[in-house]
Amino acid sequence: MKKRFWTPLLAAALAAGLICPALAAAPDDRSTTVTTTVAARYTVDIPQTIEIQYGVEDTAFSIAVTDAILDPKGAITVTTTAAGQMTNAGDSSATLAYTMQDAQGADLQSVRFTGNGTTSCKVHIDKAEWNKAVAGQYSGTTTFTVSYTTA
Amino acid sequence: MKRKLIAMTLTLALAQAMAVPAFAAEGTVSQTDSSKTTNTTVEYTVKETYTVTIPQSVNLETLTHEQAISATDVVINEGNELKVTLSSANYSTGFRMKNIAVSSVGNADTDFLAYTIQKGSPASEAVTNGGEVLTVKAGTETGSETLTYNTTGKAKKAGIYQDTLTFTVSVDAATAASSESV
Repeated sequence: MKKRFWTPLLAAALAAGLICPALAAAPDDRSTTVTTTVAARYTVDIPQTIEIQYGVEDTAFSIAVTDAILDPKGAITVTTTAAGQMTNAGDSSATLAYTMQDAQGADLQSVRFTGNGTTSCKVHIDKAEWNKAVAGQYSGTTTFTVSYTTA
Repeated sequence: MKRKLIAMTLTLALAQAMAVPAFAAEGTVSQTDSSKTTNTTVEYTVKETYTVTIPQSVNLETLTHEQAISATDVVINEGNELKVTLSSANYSTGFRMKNIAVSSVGNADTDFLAYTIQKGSPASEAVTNGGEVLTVKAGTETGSETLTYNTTGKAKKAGIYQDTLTFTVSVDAATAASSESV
């Protein structure tokens, strides 16, 4: 009984030693990274001069963005100080207050663009201001600041 | 009992060695043989080897959008050929780079920048996805090819665009239609 048990076991052990795996040559992969960078660009158009007609409370103008190639999360922000003042060229004590407003009449503080577009704005001068204005040429300067963010 | 144990141990030791020495048949010449010659076969196996060189990256902002790939020290079995193909996971209707700031699948219209690959110097033949870029037949030790990349169309978004090209090197039986190495 014991002889019958050991003989096939030894035969199996001997046969197992004869297995020779043949490994086929597999295709080999390597990679190349192709890359290029597209720089963000845009043009913001803001009127250089806004002519106000005498007595007109609201004078429209627009801020526009063209040729915009922005990053996926890129945004252009145009900010300004809403309140401004024009000064009489002949009498520096005579002033005319104005407010930069959006199309709905709210004070304009910033406008955001995520691509090409146009935002309507206006220069607002209260009737009361016009009523107290003395004759002469008035002028004032409003500064618009443009910034670009990607987050 | 002892004898049986010793016999079993010795048999096991022989099986565990796993080595099956194969002795070549010896040629023996004796004085009475009519032919006094015998032969010995001398053997040496040359394994298939090759070196394929592929640049790690190519930047399309440089003036030259070319990339050279080469195969050297090509030693392969008779009737075989070394083949290099390339493919891209971003490929759609053409090769395209993807804006790396886009983590999702991406919008086909705004998040990709298309480009072409041509082989030859000067660039003459368009390369397709999975297409062959270099073939070297057995018996030829070296081969090389120039690949030229060019963007097509215009990016709609700014940023860094990238694509990963996978070059697959294989040795297969030569096909009648395969081109000669360059």
